[in-house]
Amino acid sequence: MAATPSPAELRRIAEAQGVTPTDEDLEAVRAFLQILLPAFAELERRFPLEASGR
Amino acid sequence: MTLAELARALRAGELSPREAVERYLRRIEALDPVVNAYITVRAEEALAEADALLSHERGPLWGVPVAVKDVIDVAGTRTTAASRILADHVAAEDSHVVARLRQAGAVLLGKLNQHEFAYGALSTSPHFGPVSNPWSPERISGGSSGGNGAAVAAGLAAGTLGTDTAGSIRIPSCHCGATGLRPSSGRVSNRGVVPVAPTFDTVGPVARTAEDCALLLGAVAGHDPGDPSSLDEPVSPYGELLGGGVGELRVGVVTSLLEGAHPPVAAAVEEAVGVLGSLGAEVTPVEVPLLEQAGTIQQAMQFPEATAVHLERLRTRLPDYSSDVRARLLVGLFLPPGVEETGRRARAAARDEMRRLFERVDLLAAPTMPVLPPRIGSESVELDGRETLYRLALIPYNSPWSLVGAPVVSLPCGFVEGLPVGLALVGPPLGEATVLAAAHAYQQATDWHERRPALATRDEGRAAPR
Repeated sequence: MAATPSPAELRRIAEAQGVTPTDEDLEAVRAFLQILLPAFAELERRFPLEASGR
Repeated sequence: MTLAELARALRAGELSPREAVERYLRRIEALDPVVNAYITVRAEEALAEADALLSHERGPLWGVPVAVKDVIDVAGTRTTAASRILADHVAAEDSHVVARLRQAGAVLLGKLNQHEFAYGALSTSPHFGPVSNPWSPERISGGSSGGNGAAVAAGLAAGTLGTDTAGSIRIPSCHCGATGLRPSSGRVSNRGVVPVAPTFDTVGPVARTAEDCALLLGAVAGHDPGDPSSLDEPVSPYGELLGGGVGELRVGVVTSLLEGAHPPVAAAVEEAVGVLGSLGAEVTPVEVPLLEQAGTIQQAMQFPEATAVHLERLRTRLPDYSSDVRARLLVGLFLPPGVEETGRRARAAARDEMRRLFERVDLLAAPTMPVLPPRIGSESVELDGRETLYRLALIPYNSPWSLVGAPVVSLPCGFVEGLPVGLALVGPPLGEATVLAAAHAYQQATDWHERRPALATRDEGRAAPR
């Protein structure tokens, strides 16, 4: 979950949702994801689904 | 003159609604070319609305000229959200809050500049130009409600309404020396407001004083059956409760946020907390559970929510967004499945923890922002001797309170390098009356909220009221 996808992988995911970003857009997105994905992975470890009881 | 003072003068017949509007229009003409707080000035409409008020019942805001952020619909006026995409979008109806302002007798002066789509804290829209901080025009005013903070500081409206998703009322209030309140989630209707992330979005006042904020909140708070997020809970008489003081209150000082702030900013906030103590508050240091994780938890929901709001436009109008907003909105396309649900579980845990904390204290106190505003064009600030991205520095100071839907007021509490510093007072959900009463008590004992930037006073002779 924490690895940042390559620009090519990001482009594939975006186009599958009907969005066509530029190379610059994908670089900017990767800068966000490099911070966010490890943080979200840690959040998932701290608040796992099975422990919530919801 | 504060909004409350102007409202009293209008009711007493010391000036007419038209005279009040004309005076603000003169100030806008003189000062807004420097500040750029307005996207649309409704000069002719406001004058006509002011004249029409003469045959109306005199509500609490009768004849008071106010302005709203340009995500809030005013019928017949464009709502641009400081974007190219909505540049020509004219609202068909008033938003709920504008309808409520009109019921209270307010006159709508215009629509305020902001960060594009309210998704950022710089208020430097490439489509409508940056908002300048009246205290130092080469610096940002904060955001996303940057036009609100700047308009209040420069005296370009008696009061304003902004919106806050992750700090967008508090940040510009802090940087511009204004008083701003993010109300509890659901306290004020969002109907007719361009959304950012619907489970966090909140409309609230930015004005000169806590008393002004109480008047504005009293006008717009309450249940709206047309907004599913609106709470059906009684509205307190905020103005009548302002005199409650802080003598009976337990104030928890968030020590980790003080320690993380630029030292002169922390010193000003510590001094402000000392004033609350001298007024009778019982001040104790506290640690806030999940404080470090709060930003991540909010982002786990905010990114997907914002992307969902904009998805159709991302498909068809992507090049028309500015680059920073485009990147933030695209992020939501790439998050692993389950992130948003994890965020919801974590938010529920944070709310439980905060509920327990508010059994031990009545209010929390912290710096609104840890840093001074950067110069326009810069996105970084120096903190603890290191260059830090401004957008990252603000998160721990704002997200913890947005996450749990708590009311927060930011009020001026000092100056560093000639720029205002803000004290944040946080209450439990629906604790607006306590938060505003504490802010009012502080403002009765200090005069930071009365300070004016040089820019706002230089044309005073021909542009009163200030």
